[in-house]
Amino acid sequence: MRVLIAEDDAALQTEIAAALRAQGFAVDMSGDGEEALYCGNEYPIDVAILDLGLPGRNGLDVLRAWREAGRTFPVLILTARGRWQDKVTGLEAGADDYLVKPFHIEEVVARLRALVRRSAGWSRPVIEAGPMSIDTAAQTVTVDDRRVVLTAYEYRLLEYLALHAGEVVSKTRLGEHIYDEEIERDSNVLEVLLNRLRRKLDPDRSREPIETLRGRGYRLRLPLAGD
Amino acid sequence: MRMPDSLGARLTLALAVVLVAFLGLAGLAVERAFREGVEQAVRENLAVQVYLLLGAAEIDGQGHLRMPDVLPEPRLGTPDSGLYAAIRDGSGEPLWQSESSVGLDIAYPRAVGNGNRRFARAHAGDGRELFALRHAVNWEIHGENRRLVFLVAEDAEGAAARVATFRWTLWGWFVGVAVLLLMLQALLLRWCLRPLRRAAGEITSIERGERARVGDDYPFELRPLTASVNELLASDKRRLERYREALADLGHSLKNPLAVLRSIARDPSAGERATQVEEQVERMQQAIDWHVQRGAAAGRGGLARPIPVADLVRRVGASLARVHADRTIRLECDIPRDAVVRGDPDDLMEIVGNLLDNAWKWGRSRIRVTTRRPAHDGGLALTIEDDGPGIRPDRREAVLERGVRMDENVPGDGLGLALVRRMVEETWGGRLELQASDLGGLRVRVIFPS
Repeated sequence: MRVLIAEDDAALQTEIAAALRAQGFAVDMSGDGEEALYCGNEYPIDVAILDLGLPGRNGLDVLRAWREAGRTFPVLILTARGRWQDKVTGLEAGADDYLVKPFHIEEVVARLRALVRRSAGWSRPVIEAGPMSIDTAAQTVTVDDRRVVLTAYEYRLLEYLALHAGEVVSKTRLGEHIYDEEIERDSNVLEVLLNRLRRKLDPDRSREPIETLRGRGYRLRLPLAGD
Repeated sequence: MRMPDSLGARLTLALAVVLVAFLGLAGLAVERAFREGVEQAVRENLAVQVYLLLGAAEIDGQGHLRMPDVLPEPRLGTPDSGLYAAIRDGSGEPLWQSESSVGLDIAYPRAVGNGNRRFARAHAGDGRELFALRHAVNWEIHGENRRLVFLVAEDAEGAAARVATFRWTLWGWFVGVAVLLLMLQALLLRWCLRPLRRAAGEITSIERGERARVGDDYPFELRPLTASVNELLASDKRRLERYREALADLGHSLKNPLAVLRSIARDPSAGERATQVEEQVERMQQAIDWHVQRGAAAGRGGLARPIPVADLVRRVGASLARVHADRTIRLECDIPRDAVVRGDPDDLMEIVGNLLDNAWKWGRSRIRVTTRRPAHDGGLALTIEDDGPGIRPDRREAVLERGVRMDENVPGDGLGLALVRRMVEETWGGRLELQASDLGGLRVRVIFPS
């Protein structure tokens, strides 16, 4: 998941970024309203954390501008004041959730995950696809009730595909949502990562949960719960 | 004497005194002039009588005065006619008296100094008031100068009656004019004082929050005052905003370091004292929330606009529904359009936000918000109910105390209900009650007095 942190307090920005990276997010950061607006409009982010008290251009303006530009990624607003007037105005401007400072960093992570899930149409924290079960809160994966141990990047890859199950996800898009830095987005690295993931999920190659569509990308193909 | 404390009454009283004094003095002057005019006419009439008598008088051969039996003025020949005459010599010896004065002992005026003529009041023997003219002449008889004194008198009754009639007419008119002028004055006063009444009315409606400032179209004498009132209102508002901003900034500037401290304390490498640090951070956090939020409450000192409750509840409800999009909670909002609470919209939103947020956290599927107007006062009772677990009666008092949480596992700042109660009590002078709802959960009743 690629998250934009728009927060002007450097210490807090670093803290949140570190915690989110540890939790497997790809992180973009901005400490300024104008810059945050640009990042939200131009980067393929999945979710944003937006401080309402940004310098340059305040959070509410940035949020409204994003929504007017048709950007629909979920936004978690941070407010220091905790006044309901701020919360309601923020939510009416298009935010999806709010947090009042200071907060437990776990709370931020939990809210972000919930927002991403919700925006992908999942209301529960556990995504079940056929024999596979992905717990987005605990970040664990089981296949046929067998725990599969994944590295952070393998998990990110799987979670992104699962949240967009049924869609064809291009290699570029996958790279953008998994890695922070452009330099890491080497298609060979991604292919190696994908192959490792396939081996772990489907050691005997009986199910082929992740399809490769030549020249177009990848698709998670498992029947979803309820199907 | 205590002055009346109304400008209108003062002006009315002052103008009435001036009016009455003016009309009274003018009346006295006119009456006096009229009376003098009447007396002057009587005097002239008496002088004519003297000349007629002089013309009729003759001196015979023995040097005696002779008066004709029939005088040119018939009233002198008629007893008690009101016109009397007598002639005396220089030593005061009576020489003749008119038939009209027979039997009446008239005290004619005496000579004063060397004057030949004197007009004065006189009395008849029976007490009647008279106007009398004494006219002395020197009559040359056989080369010898004799002094004759002609005395004429007339009843004062006629003149007095004319004066009385005139007085009645005069004062009648004056009283009528005074009444008319007083009425006109009352109307003029109303008209002149209307801007003052309007200003008072506008200031009252500012107090009630129905308007933000006094109008600008006042007479120029009042304009400095109304401008000052507006300036005062504006500066009060600015000060309140600055105060709120300063508090918010303080909160903001403390919160980021606290957030960092907290996450450092949570780091596994922080060691065994991390829990203590976190506890202290938590306490600081609560203190900030409590004081900053309470301080930011505007109170009813400034503008108390009527806030439509239904709109506000719906806005907060829609926002919370967005936050809790993964839960299916039905918000039943039964509030009449005209239900209003006077006060600061931010403060009211703080109360509704906290209470609805609690209801959303605890409720299972239903939240109901209703308002009622208690019959005994003009206030409004706002009730928010949910179908959650509710609060046991013996715990209700405790959760209203500062810093007590209902459950540490549900996110919240633990100040919710206590803060709301404080705001309701301090900002509105109202009341907050916790009850059991027939939906199964908690019923919070907030009573805003009128």
